[in-house]
Amino acid sequence: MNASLILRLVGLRYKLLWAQTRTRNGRIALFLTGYLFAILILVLMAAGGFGAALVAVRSGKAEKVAQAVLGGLFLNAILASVVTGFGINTAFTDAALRRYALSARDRLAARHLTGILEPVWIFVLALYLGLSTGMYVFGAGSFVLGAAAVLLLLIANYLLARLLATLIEWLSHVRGGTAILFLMLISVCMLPSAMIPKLEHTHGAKEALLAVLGYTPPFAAAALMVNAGAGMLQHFGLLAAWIAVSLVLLAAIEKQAARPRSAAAVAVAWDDRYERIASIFGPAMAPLIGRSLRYYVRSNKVRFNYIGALPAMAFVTFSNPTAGPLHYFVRALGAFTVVGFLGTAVMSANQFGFDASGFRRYFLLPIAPGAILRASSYTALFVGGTLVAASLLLWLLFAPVPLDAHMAIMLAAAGVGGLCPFNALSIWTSLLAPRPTSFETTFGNQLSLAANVLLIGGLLGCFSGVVALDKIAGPAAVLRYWWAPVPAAALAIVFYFCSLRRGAEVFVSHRERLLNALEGRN
Amino acid sequence: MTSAIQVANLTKKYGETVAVENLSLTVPAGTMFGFLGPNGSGKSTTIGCLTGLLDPNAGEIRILGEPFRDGAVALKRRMGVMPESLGLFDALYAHEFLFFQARMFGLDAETARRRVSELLDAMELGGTGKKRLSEFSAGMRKRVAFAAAVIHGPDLLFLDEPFESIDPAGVASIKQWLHKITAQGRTVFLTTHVLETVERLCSQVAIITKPGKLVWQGDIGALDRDGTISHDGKEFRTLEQLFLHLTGERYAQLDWL
Repeated sequence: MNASLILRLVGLRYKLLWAQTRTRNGRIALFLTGYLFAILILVLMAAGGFGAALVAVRSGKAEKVAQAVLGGLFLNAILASVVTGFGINTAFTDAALRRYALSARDRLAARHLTGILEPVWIFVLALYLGLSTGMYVFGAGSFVLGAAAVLLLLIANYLLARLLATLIEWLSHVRGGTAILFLMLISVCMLPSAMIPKLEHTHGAKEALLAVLGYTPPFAAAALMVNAGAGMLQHFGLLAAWIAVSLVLLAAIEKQAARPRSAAAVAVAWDDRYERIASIFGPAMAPLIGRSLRYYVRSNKVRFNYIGALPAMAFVTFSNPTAGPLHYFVRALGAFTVVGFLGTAVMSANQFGFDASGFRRYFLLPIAPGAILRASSYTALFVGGTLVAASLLLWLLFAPVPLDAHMAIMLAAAGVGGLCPFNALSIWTSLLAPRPTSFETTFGNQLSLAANVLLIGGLLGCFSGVVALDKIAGPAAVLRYWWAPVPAAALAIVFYFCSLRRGAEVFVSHRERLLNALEGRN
Repeated sequence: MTSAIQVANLTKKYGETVAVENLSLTVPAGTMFGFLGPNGSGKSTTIGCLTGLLDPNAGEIRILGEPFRDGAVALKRRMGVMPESLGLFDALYAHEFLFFQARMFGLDAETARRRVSELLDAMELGGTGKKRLSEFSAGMRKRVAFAAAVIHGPDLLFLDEPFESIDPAGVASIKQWLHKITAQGRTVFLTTHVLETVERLCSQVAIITKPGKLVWQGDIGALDRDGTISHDGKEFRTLEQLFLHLTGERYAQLDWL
């Protein structure tokens, strides 16, 4: 194995990460990320590492606490890396590594080594190690066994995250894959709230579930952390088996995904669906909107977010099974505010990031450049609007709340009232903080800092807002003011059109800066 | 002879860096005009200014006899541009991209569809119906960009490095079409680093050096007629010799190579 070249590639990956700090935005992002990371590590080490170990040992339930902490971290690490792309989108693909003098085995090792040494996995390792070291310090386990268990757990965690991400990427390319993904997401989002009440009321169900969980990597690692002797080999074997099976499955899916999609020549077939939809916006805008629509529909990133938005919002709305139907409604107001934007944000908050050199062409067209911005933004609004409409339809059909016209008006107004300001602010993130983005990838957070602040801040703001409203005012008071979201939505529409108008001027005056940023010259 | 392009004292700066300095140029209508210069001499920046992509800091531009100001929509309809970076929309199929381009330049749907089909066949891209432009080879991308530049039958065609990456048969076809275009009185403004191609294709040539300064403009027909071009009392047998003399570029020697 060409170990020195592989290590040099790992070093190169870190150099590339560091190179991102050469720009002003990169330095700001580095500072904020470092600051947040430091606080997170301190908090999580205290609560999830040493703190958890202390609680575990003092309560006399060391293994149970370790199982809960490791299980939570394990799942969160998978979800966070798959949803955000952190830690699985390595700099090097197999195709990129073929340029170097590396065998197939070397390339596999280089890819996974650079993957597992991404900062996010080092962060996860620190949390795991915090717990195992805590267990050792408080006399509840062996340091060596704990450290070995943690290392194997990390490898299993990384491989499972990668396996899931590769599976999703592959599904998003195959026929019918989007439907399968949608079902997967619905299951993941809705199962916990459906199962928890049943588990609580079924005798012996909890024990049976725990017995099954005993075969999972976090439980095996927890057992190794606290039980030095009993069943040691069995637990190591279990972790090793998870790693081996994940590797085999990963290799199989990667092999499947690597097959060319369209080997045979296919004759040109005119498909006017996009033009027909775009013609709603008038003949002058139709070609531009038809082009934008194709980008939205064909981007794996948008597709993944679009189909995930509804289940995610359903999960947030119904995640507290003990809350009453009216409380669901108040939470749904928050969900309706963000659902339309959530489905399109990866593209709408960075409208020209996917165009690459195509951005140049806009200014060669015989039209006023403002029309391009309008077309791009209307498309985002339209695609996001379909999510709001679908949400409303699903709510009216399936929500465990009696049908009420006031509720429907409030939800529709919340949808419009969310969609418009989010898309108005997206115009500004697209114009002032553009980021060149790969059209082909499904994962990876390629939004600028400003766009991330808009997306994450908007989500958190909306949900904390409705939770506070629910607690402080209560559903009855919220329903009394059923008309309030309507003028708010009207204001949102005005704000949107004002932003669009001013944005069109900035689009022209900033075009050279945008061109430089999107072609990677800033 | 009328002028397709008239540039007077064009200056373009990027911050403090001067990319084009006081450039004055006249391109006669109906000619194949070669615009040459070393890397980084400001050729693409000049094309950017002439096509409305970039705002010049100073100077006056007249295109097809009319002043070319910001957002000259009517003039842009009469121009076709193939930028060096090609400017393709990677998520689209070739026929969708060309149809978009045709519609944006005012062709009706039926004409647009017919021309797209004809161009794809002519460019040997007929079997790429379900292949995104991002999946095309460099040569195929270049062919699509060329097709997009000519689909609306422009009066003035800007081509930035049009022959790079295209196979010999494709290059021959494009050359033939360019001759046809100029024979109809339309103008082609092209940049390339392949000077032999310029010698064979172009009748007029301008050479610029860093930063975007015109050092020579003239008729290179003398190369065909007399076998030499005279400049500064010297005679040059090829365009390459003249170019190297004017730009001060030299053949670098590497001992180890």
